[in-house]
Amino acid sequence: MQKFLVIFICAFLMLSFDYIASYPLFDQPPHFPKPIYNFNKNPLDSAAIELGRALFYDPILSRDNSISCASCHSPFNAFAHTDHDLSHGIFDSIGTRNAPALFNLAWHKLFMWDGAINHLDVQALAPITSHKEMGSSIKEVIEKLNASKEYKSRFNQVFKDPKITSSRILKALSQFQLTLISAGSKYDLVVSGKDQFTHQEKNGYELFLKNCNSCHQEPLFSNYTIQDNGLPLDSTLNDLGRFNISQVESDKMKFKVPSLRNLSYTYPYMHDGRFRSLKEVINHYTERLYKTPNKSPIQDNPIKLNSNEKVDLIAFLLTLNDPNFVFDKKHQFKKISMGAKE
Amino acid sequence: MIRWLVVFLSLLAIKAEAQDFHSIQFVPKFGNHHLELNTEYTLGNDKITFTNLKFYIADLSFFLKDSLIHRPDQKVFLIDVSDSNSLKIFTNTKSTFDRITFKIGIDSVTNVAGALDGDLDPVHGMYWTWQSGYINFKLEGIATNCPARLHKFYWHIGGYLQPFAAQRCIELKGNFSKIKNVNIQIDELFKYIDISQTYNVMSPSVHAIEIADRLAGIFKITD
Repeated sequence: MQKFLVIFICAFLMLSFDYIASYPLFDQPPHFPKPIYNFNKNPLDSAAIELGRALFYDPILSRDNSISCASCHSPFNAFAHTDHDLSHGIFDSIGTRNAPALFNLAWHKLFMWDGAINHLDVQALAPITSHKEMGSSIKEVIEKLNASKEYKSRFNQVFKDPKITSSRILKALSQFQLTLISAGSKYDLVVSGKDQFTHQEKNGYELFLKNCNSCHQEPLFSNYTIQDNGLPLDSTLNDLGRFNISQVESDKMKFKVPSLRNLSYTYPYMHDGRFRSLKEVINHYTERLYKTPNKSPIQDNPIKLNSNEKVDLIAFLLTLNDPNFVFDKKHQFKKISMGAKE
Repeated sequence: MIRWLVVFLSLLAIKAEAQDFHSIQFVPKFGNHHLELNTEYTLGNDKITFTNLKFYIADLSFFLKDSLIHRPDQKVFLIDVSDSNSLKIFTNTKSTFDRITFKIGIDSVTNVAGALDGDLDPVHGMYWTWQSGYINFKLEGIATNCPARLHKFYWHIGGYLQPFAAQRCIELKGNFSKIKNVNIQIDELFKYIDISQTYNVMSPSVHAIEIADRLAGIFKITD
């Protein structure tokens, strides 16, 4: 009997160590679901996270060394491009979409506004290659990194081998981005019993649960699916969203549901940044829904809110701002100096 | 001296043994001609020059009398006509076989697996960047009947999601012995696909499927 108990305890310890070993640097918020990202294939490692952080802030990824990931995904804007409806890239190019905020990426199944990218590890290939973003290629990036003594030694340090390959670059970028976890807002404190909503916020929360939660599901505040939210087509962009990827008629005007966390830092809103304020967004859902042929559920049931309720809803939405995440120094730019100690 | 002779003879034996392993040799063809890149071929009133021909083959399997006798450890091979080494695939079996099967292109599981290495490394130009997914079959060139700028055509055939999943299965039967040539009859494609209509295919689409459906017909074994 005792022997079995010992075996059981050993097995239990091994399993828990295994869990800890798989996610040692991943700060899983207790009220969040299990992440979708498979950490077993890219186990987080502090040196790799730091390498990814260096790459994220380095314009070496662009053809003329002018644009870094952070050019459009700034830490102070919850890694979005605040105040720009459409993103700016290499040679003053202007893209066709609003740069999405980057956080809680381990829970995303698809990336980009149309879900064109199916895995975080291959996401960076898109901006690196796009003629309107970085205008380079992964081959060119590898050549440039290989010419840098700092990076060569950094890759050697992380991968115990100096070879710089596409998968190593991409996985390091993923590592850094996976650490961008936003779970420190007032809402999160209320959920964990450390704070309380005001009367107005509580009322707004109830309105949110009734009207918004089916797509913007708490606690991530998105179910990260692709939906038609009743926006009319902007004829200057002719962006048909998911249809451009799938060529399936019923996917016209479908875009990925964004999270509602950090809204104060990430305006303007929608895939093309057409709304500058939350008030405009709420008025869209209550009064200005456009009937597209897809007939998504929201279009048949416009949200009914009076002006007081709109104010309450916004008060709740502001509790999703997470300044602890936005101003966290460990996500910000840090100059690499190979000689210097970490 | 005798010791050296023994070593020499055993080396010879190893070499002879190595030659007994079977292999598959892909031979790109245009009609009866061996297809070379950057060489002009005539088809009807069209003159066609190919600048790039690359494709993936996956799950190569060798059968004898309906039983699987060999499947290489490497699941996917990138065949690139500009790299003659890639055209030959060695096996580690000496057994003969009467049927081979393989797939042209990459399956959906591999397509959603993230950043991969080796033949699946995106540096090979066989991965779409603006939307995730491998290009299964890439043929580029210049055809006088192609109305595009400089008469250039681009066939990048891929896609792993329905209704435009483009991976195709190939089965070849025959009397296999030692090195077997598998001809890739590129001219066959041009019998069915009109280059004056279908010249820019660079995403999963109806046109990609139209070409993918013809790929099985271009692989032929010869004795």
